[in-house]
Amino acid sequence: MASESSQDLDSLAIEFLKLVNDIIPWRDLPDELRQDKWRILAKRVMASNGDDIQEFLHNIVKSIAGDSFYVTRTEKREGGGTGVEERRRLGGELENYLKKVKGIGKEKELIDYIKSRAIPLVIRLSAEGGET
Amino acid sequence: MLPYGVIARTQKSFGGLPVLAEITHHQLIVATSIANDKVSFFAGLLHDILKPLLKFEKRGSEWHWPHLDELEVDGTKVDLSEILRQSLSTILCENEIDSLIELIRQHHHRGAVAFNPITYAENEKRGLGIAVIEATLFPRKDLNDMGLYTCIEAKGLTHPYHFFVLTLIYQGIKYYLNEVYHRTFSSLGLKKLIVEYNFGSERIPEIQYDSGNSSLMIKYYVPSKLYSGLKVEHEYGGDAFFNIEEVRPEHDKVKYVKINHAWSDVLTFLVPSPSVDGLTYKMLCVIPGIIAYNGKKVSINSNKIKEFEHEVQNIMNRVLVDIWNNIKLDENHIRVLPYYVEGNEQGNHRCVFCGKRTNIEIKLSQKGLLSDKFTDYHRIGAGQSVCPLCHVGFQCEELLRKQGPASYLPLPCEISSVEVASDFKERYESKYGEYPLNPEEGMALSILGLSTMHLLSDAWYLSLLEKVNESGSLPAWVRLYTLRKQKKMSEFYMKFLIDRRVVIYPLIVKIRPKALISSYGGKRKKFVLNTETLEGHTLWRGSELDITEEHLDALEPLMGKLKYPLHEKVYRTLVSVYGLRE
Repeated sequence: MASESSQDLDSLAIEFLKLVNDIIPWRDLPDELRQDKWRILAKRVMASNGDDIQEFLHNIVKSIAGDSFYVTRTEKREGGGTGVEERRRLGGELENYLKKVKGIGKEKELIDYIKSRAIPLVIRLSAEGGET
Repeated sequence: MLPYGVIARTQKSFGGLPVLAEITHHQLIVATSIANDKVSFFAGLLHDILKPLLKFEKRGSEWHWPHLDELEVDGTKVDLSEILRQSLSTILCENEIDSLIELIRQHHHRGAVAFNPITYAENEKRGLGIAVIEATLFPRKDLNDMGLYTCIEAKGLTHPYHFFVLTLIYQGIKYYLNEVYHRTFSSLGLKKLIVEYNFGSERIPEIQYDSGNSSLMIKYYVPSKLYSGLKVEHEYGGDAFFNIEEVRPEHDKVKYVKINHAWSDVLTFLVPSPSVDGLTYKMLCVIPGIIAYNGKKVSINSNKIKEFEHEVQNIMNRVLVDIWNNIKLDENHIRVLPYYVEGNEQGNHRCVFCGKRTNIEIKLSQKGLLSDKFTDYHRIGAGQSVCPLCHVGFQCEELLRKQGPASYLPLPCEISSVEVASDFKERYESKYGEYPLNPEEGMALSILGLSTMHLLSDAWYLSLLEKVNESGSLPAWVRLYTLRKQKKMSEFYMKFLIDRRVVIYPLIVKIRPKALISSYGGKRKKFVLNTETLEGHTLWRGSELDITEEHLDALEPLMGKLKYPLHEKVYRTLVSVYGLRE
């Protein structure tokens, strides 16, 4: 049975990778990169580093997409028979996420957790989004 | 999760620790040792038929597991003779069925050891005590006095190649011994044994004997709310390889898990054994029909022991010839193989792999044994000599590596955790405040347990790999595998691959599979036999990263979502992201 603290880290790790995945402008990247996105994301997460979670995120995104990234994302949500479009402000979500991580005070542990389980976490993310 | 069956025993000794002993395996072992006549053999196969009802009672401070006539199911007293009489009338005559019922009913009677072959097989003090192999790895009695035959006692195994060769020989012996067991059982009217475990509400077991194809079917109904609706079927036979698959019968929506066993999967054992020479390994098998019964008393059938010994020696020769036919080494190297397996060595040179004495001098350079693909020079010593064990190990591994598809030799898994099913606990805790198993300290190892753990490792690898039909000119007992295609990765395989849990009800064990794997590095490079896998940390090799148990644990939150078609997509991502290879 996983302990409560490792469950916290686990959900923060998945949230982190979801943010990274959303910020990367996959649509603007070459086909060969996009088709292999989960493998590339997992490899970059394993290879990247950072003194804090923000730098870690920045380095992952930069290593995949260079200096381009999304600040907003429009998503379709199911509702009332027709799809409802929702505009997400990724900058705001990132800010909230960073606050949450700082609040818990386990930034270094979180980075280690994500790096050591990069592949299974990315596989889970791919399954959660339904796109693999 | 792999549903595997039902436990065969609990223990008063050994701290009450649970063991991995499955009820059908137990009955088959007892039946084999008394396989001299139909009555004894079928009595052995059915003697604990009411145990899977799991009707434990606590009397005073002791737990009891009644499994004979004193049981009630749904308020009705179980009539054992009625169950047996109707179902066996096509194989046994009236008098024989009477005898069989008596043997089963009396097998726990005081003094029955003198006249009941089942009791004689099970009783450690005054009989053979073969059932003790389910309880411990190191019985007090000599294993050869318990109805087991020692095919090989391997000593001085110091290098992975030595253990690789021993395990290869074990596979070969198991394969040919299955023919011997099948011949024996067929002569007594049993060519196939099918056992069904239906989890849900309790019901009296059903038995059907089909005289057309000489098959016996036993249907157990195991009381369990937790696993209600779950069904697992075992099939034992002469041409079966161990296999697990999910079956969906036509016109039936209910899927179930089918597990095929060769007879020898549960009747042969490769176990460590302490000795003055350090750790040795014993390859053991149950001697069929070692206990004779003349209707009144039991005795040891020494003719059967001699016959069986002769059979095993022939089998050993067949296995060596199979190896020789495939790697074409000097015949003398093969002939001295058993001598080296038994811990002996001869000659004035030292093997470059293991340091054993040898008189085989061989060209090792790039155009010799090692070839230009060998990369592990830092792991071998100086010289030009190799011992027969390492020579055969190297060549066999090279042969398997060249095939392309993976070849693995399963080893006993490790048990990462053990727990008791919550519904079983609740049933007894509500009545007695405790339950009759103590998994707090883990599990006790036993001889049968190790062979079960061997099968469970095999089961896990079978969830990832599928058999390649074409195995070229390799011996029939060497199997080659390739990664499952996406369409062949069912939800069942995918879930077991990730969670590694096995139910031998009411025990739920989480396993860490282990295997010796050849042809790991692909065709381009040649290493000294991979040893990482021996340590059990790496479960399968990937070009990006190896799959480890920690990684599979991290995938466990996916378990509830692995339904069609997502499980196929997750598998595709898993293969791609890890870079899994054959």
